[in-house]
Order: sequence, then C-alpha cells, then structure tokens
Amino acid sequence: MVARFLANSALADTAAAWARDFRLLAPVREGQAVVYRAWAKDMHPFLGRPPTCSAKEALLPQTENLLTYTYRKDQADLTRTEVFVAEPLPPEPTLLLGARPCDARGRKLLDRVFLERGVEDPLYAAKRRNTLFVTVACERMENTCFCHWTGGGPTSEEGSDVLLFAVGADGGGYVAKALTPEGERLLDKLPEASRAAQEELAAKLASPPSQAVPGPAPDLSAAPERFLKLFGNMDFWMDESARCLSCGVCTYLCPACSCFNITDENSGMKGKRLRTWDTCMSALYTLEGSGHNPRVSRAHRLRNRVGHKFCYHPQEFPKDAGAQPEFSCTGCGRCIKSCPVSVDIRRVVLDLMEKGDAS
Amino acid sequence: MAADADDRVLQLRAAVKAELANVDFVLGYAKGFDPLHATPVTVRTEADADRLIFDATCVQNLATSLYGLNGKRIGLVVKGCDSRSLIQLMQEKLLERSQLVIFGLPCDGVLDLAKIRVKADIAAIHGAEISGDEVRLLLPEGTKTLPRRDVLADKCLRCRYPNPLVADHLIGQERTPQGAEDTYADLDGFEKLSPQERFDFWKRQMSRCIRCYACRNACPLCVCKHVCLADSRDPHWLSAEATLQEKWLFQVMHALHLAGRCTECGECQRSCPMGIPILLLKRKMNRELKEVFNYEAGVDPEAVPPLHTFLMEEDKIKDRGQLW
Repeated sequence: MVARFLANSALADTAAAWARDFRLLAPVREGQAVVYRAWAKDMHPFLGRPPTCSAKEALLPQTENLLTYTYRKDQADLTRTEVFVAEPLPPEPTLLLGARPCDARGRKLLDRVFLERGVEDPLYAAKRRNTLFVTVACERMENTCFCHWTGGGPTSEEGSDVLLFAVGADGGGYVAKALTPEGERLLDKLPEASRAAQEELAAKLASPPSQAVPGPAPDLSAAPERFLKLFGNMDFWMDESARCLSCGVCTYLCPACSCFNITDENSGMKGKRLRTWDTCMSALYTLEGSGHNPRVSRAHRLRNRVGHKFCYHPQEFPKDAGAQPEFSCTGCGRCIKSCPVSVDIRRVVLDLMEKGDAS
Repeated sequence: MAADADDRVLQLRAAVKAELANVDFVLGYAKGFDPLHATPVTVRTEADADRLIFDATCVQNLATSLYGLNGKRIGLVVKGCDSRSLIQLMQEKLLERSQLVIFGLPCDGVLDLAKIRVKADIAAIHGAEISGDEVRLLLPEGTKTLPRRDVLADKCLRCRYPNPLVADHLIGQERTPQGAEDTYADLDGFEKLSPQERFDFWKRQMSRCIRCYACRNACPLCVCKHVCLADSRDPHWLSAEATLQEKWLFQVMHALHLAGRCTECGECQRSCPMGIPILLLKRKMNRELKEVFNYEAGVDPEAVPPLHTFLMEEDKIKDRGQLW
C-alpha cells in the first residue's frame, strides 16, 4: 500500500470530507480535557495529546438506548395493559479520529467480551462492523504509559484502520498508513507521502520512542497465578486500596473495561430501556436485592478490577504455553493519570508479582 | 526552608513511629508515580513510616479516607485546610476525636497540576525541585522554572489557616497566614455574566462530565457515599442516562447538601478527570452562608453549623411577620 500524506493544514478539510460519509468523532480541547466530539463546522481536531477519555465511547457508549416502550390501557377492559416496544435505529457508519494505539487495541479486548464468548451482542456487533479507527501513533511515552507491558507499543498497528505518524517534513503533518481496505479508501484522496517524509518516518521508526521514562517491561507471565495466591490475603488488598475513593474514573476512562448496567427509565406510561457504563469500583455494583454485598469493601473491589484484568481474562482467553498472557489492559495509563489519589495499577501488579511469589 | 522541610519529614516519621503502637494504622503521604504526584499511604510498620513525605505535592485531603473506618483508631497526617474537614465532621458527630491521632503539618501551599499543565507539558517529567519561591521542572526538553506562586492551588493563595486547627502532634514551625479575607473575586466576575451566559457556561462544562462521581467520593463531607440519592433507584431522582440534565441535577444537589459544611478543600474540582470547575458552585453557597449567617465551616469545633439549627429570629433574614 502507498503511504499517503495528511498535511496539518489539510487536517480540518479532510476531517470535514470524512464527516460527509461518517458520523465523525474527533478529539477537541475543552479546558484541561481532550474529548471526542461529533464533528461540527469550524471544529479543530486536536491530535497532540492522547485524549482524556478512551475511544470505547464509539463502540460502547456511556448511554445506549436498547428500546423504548409505551404502555396503553385497553379502553374496553381497563384491567388490561398493552405494551408497545420500538427498537432503536441501526448505528450510523462511524469514524473515530485521533485514538492512540492503546485505544485501538482496546477494540480487540472489547470484541472478546461482546463477540467471542459464544453469544454475540448484536448492538455491539453492529457498531463494531461499521466503525473505523484512524489512529495516531505515539511519539513518546508518558510517565503513566505502559503499553509495552501488555503486548502493545507506541506504534502498534493492532485494531486500527489507518495509522498516522507525525512528521515535520513538507510543512508538517502525518504520514498515513492504511492497514485495512476500508482504511485505504479513506486515504484515496490524499497525496502520496514525499520521499523526505517517508525517510523521516523510517528514521523515527528505526529509533522508537524511549521507554526509559516508564521503565522496561517486567515479565508478567506468572501474574494470574500470583493473583490467585494472594486472593484471600485481605491485608494485602486493604493496603493497596486504603486510599481508593471508589469512584469510577479508572473504569470509565479504561479502553478495555466493558461492564454495563441495564435499567428501565420510566416516565409515566412510557420509558426507555438503557444500557449504561457500570463500574466495579462502586459498592452498588455487587449489591444484591437482599441487601447482602459480596464485595463489601474497597479492598474487595480493587481486587476485582486487578483480578479481572490480570487473572480472569487471561484464564478465559488462554494463549499458547510460553506466550505472554493476554491481559484485559492495554497499558494506556488513564486509570493512573486521572486517579485523584494516584492509585497505580502497575504498582499493584508488581506488588502481586513480588508478594505472591513469597507467600 | 529546605532544611526545615527535611527536618520536618524526619520529625513526622519519628512521631508516627512513636504512635504506631497506639493506632491501627496511620494515613499519610508517600511518593507517587512521578515527581509531581504524591499518593496516600497506609503506615503499619516502621519501614512504612520511612516512606512518608510532606511537601507541595501532598494535595489530597486524607480526611476523605476516614469514611468506612469507624471503630478503628487512626493516625492522620493533615494540612491546615484538611484539619477543617475534621472539625466539620466532628461537629456533625460523624467522627470521634478520640478515634484519631492527628499529625498536623503547617503548610506552605500545594501545587495545582492543572495550572502547571497550562505552562508546561509534564506528562513525561522526570524531576521536580520545589523551593520557597520557585518550582523547577525537569522535563525531557530541558529545565523549566516557574514562580511558585503561579502554580499554587487557588485555595492556598487565599489560605488563612495554614496551621492545623486541631492536632495531637504539631510538626514544624507554624506559618504566618498569607491570605486575606476571601473577596470571592472569581465569583463576582462570573456573576457579572447574564443568566443565559452562565447557564451556557455550565452546559458546556457539564457536557463532558462522565458521571464517575470522583467529585462526590473525593469530598470529605459527602458522607452518604454509595447511598447517595444520585444512585438511588427508589426514590428515583436521577436516571442512569448520561444527559446534561442528570449531570447538572447532581451537581446542584452536591452544592446544596454542602451549604454551610463545605470547607473549600477543593478536592471535588481537583479530582474531576474532565477539569470541570465545580468548586465555583460550592463557593457560591459559602458566600451566601457567610453573608447571611456570618459562618465559616470547619473553624470552630464548638460552633453549630447554621443549617443544623435555627433561631426564632435571624439577624439577616427579614421577618415576614406572623403568617398565621
């Protein structure tokens, strides 16, 4: 495939052209945050920093309408009520601009949950089929980044349709590499990347972003067993979680967290059945109708988040012996960066590796 | 200044070690994942105590972590502002003084990372030196020096209580308060806008709320936590839908429930991953409380918060005469 060039000066026009064919979600700066917004005229996509939220909103929206319903009394027999149900419209073709490689890899982890467990989630499947990712490769790693721990990397191609590499040549812009046929169609109006741009990119790829800041990746292949060894050690989990506030920042910003709730929101004789994000950090997540709560403390809840990502998921989707396990974590580091009390999941996993070995 | 700071941390560690036998554990600050982040830490052993730090990165209000720890005897490291949360909790009988061993540290102000991020890209920072009047950031592209005053939290610039108002161990020299009476200049500026402009501002800000409830859970006085009526299905005040209406209703509830209780520790705003300036709503409530009841929350352990009591005749509330 031919490498194309997306000049900085052409970014807004190209995005506008894409927006004619797709529901385009693009990152924009709002105050301190970088958030995905549906394309609007005069919008300035901002690709300079990883967005504050992950890209999962495109596939698993925070609020999703499963159906709407209306009750109607039978006028001839008022003891009878009929219910009329309407399905939502099928999802529009969507293009998500400005995700990072860690976000794109999150798609694969969401697929595991919604497509590969023997039951296909039709709403997710419909969105997944017609959503494209135009991803921006990372030029450096931040203090909170650890994609190299979980099988990814700053220029990982997994899960993207197009990967953009920033270059300074030709006035500045991106060398665009199509990774799927759909991605190639997106780029067909763009000029071919110049020799200078391609050479600059080749030089950059030859010396990839330094991993010196976050440090080299540890061997986590024993993480699932170490976790199980420490499962019942509540002192360990108490100490790891004493500062946790039980808010939903980590799970809501996570590109791999997939838990949802389903509620009926009534309004008189009509209502909606919604699917909304849920968070296992909340005490309500496991609160049973009887009033009993099996995960009664923050320690139990943090244990679940770490356990799901680094033990239950790799056990459910095993790899060949000797291969690095697949974790339900892409190492994007949003849970670390945005945590109000700086809970560091890397630290928890390293403590697991260390203390699970000793016990 | 630096020497005092080092001495202080050593004194703190020694004081904590001496109290370890008398408490279940101590909550303090340790180094976080990078030079600008501290993280709360549970201290049970002398080795844990040696991890304790205290500097301008110790932003969190540890009074929040007391939630759910009733029945335990806890040591707590507090700054002046944090001690006000303790006082308020004690006034509301939500906390027993005898339950706590308080390590009070007079404070020179904490950093506001949101302010630093405007001036420098700190995502890959590898060192920081914080002195009396400068913050030196060691960044991949070189060193950047910022005036300390420019990057302190707003609450620190107007702080009148740098010294903990309640403490068992007061560690380090008491500071002279720098802040003057709060003029609410930020609020004045905002209130000059028309109601429509203000509403548009909040609509824009709240539209990026993700309903993670970090603001609520980081608040030391939001004591309902998971029995909050924002989460309640019965009564069903808020729907699960992430609409502007639900987000806004919650913020209004939060502000109203904190009227006369909020000490403006600012944890709600600091914790917001989306950078929504929600402290402004609480400041509005506080200014009204100050005007009407001449009351400031969390200052006097003996005082009764005005909305926890009533007077037959209020000084500043106009009597409408007998209504019957």
